[in-house]
Amino acid sequence: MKLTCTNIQRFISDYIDGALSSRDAANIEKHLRFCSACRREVVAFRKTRDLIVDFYVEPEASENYFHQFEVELHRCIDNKGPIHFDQRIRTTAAQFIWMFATQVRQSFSKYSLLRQNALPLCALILLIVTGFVVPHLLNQPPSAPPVVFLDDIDSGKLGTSSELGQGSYSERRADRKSPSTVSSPTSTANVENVDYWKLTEPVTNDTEAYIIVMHVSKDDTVPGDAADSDLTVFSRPDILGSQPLLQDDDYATLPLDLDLHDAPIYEKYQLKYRKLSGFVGHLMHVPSKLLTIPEPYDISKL
Amino acid sequence: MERTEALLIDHLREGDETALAPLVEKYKRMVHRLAMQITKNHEDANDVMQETFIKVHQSIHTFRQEAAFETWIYRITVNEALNFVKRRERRREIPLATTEEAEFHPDVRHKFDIANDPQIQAEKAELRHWVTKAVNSLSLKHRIVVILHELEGLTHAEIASILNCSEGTVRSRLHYAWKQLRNLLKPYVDATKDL
Repeated sequence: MKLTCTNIQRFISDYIDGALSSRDAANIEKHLRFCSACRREVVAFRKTRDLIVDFYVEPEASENYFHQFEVELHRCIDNKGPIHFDQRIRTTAAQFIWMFATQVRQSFSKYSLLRQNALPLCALILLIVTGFVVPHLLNQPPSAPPVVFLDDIDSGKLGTSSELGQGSYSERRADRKSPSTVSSPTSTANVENVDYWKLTEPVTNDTEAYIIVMHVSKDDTVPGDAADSDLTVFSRPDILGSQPLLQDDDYATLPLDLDLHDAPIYEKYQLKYRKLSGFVGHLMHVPSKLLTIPEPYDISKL
Repeated sequence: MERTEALLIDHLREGDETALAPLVEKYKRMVHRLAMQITKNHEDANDVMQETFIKVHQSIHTFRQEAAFETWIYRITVNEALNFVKRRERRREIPLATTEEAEFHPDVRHKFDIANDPQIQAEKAELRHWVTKAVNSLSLKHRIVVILHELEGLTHAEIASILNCSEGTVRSRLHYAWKQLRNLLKPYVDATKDL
């Protein structure tokens, strides 16, 4: 490396970092011994760098910030859903194609292409076929929503919000088991202890919303799973108002679409069900800020 | 049992969602720091962080083991942050990352000895202010190489890989950035003792 005063500056950073070869570093040192201008340059460079390293204030954030970030990140990832089986197949197929193409390129000039790659070719075709067939099978429309007993509604027993009073709700509540007997999600033996779940849209002045009380059947393997549950009763939240009913730890909010505002509740429920893979999946993503309960929503209670 | 990074990456590739949390824990500060330094905006930095880790989660299968995972995350973060800055500039909602040379006048009327001055804390605070301001006043492409090289400790080759440019370009940008910084901090550089 031939150094002059004009090009030495490009290597100052490497020189100070010690990233130059010993020969190049020796050349620079030799030049610096006789060139005061370049020496000043190196000193100034080093001082500037030390100033930056010692005094630059790096942005920092509190532990609380990172904690909130992680919660939000996992919620985001959960909402986006896990990588599905069909995606994995496609990814694997893409990787296989890449490997296959590399192999083809390498062996093209030497061997008979078809004979040499017969096995990977078959595997590739198989993967492509499964990559398209399996997702198709997986994307079958969801089964019908659970049966909703609308007898009470149709017969007018529950009627409008003005007719729905605390009394009718209290009757249901009286049948309910103690919250302490709620089973854990891994337990199936105590499922019968779970009486029902109540889900409600956040109560606002201009939004009609419903409390949906769900009954978990005894043979339900996943407590709270809507697929095996019955929608037994519903009620408008405005009749509950600030009643302590919403303070129980087995309540969660279920936002309903506002554009379905005027649709009958059963249609809302059906639409909601079609859009989601199930209530459980949705429940797990209910933001805690929407909850009307004072304590954080405990998924394990499901 | 603590899993090594390579093991975590393998598990994440295989769809083990629990492998993401330790990786986030390890790299969140680095990603946040870099995102903040590039976007200079808390809200954008938060979005960049989120996009970065979502991309890590979704694109882990594209990560090839021959590259360092850290470099890969650096690359994603830098790209995401640059995208945010570009988008912001297009929207022109927030002023562009301006060169603040016009308002940059570190008024040092007298030389001072950083080590022995009795008002050392106040002067250090002042120095931190001007040094940070000087780095932030660099243009985006120059700021990034200074941050990655001097503050994150990456080599020219690693920076070139992250920014998808040649090592010569990195050297050139770094050289230009140092000249800028030296001019901006000249009063302080002159005031410090010779090494």
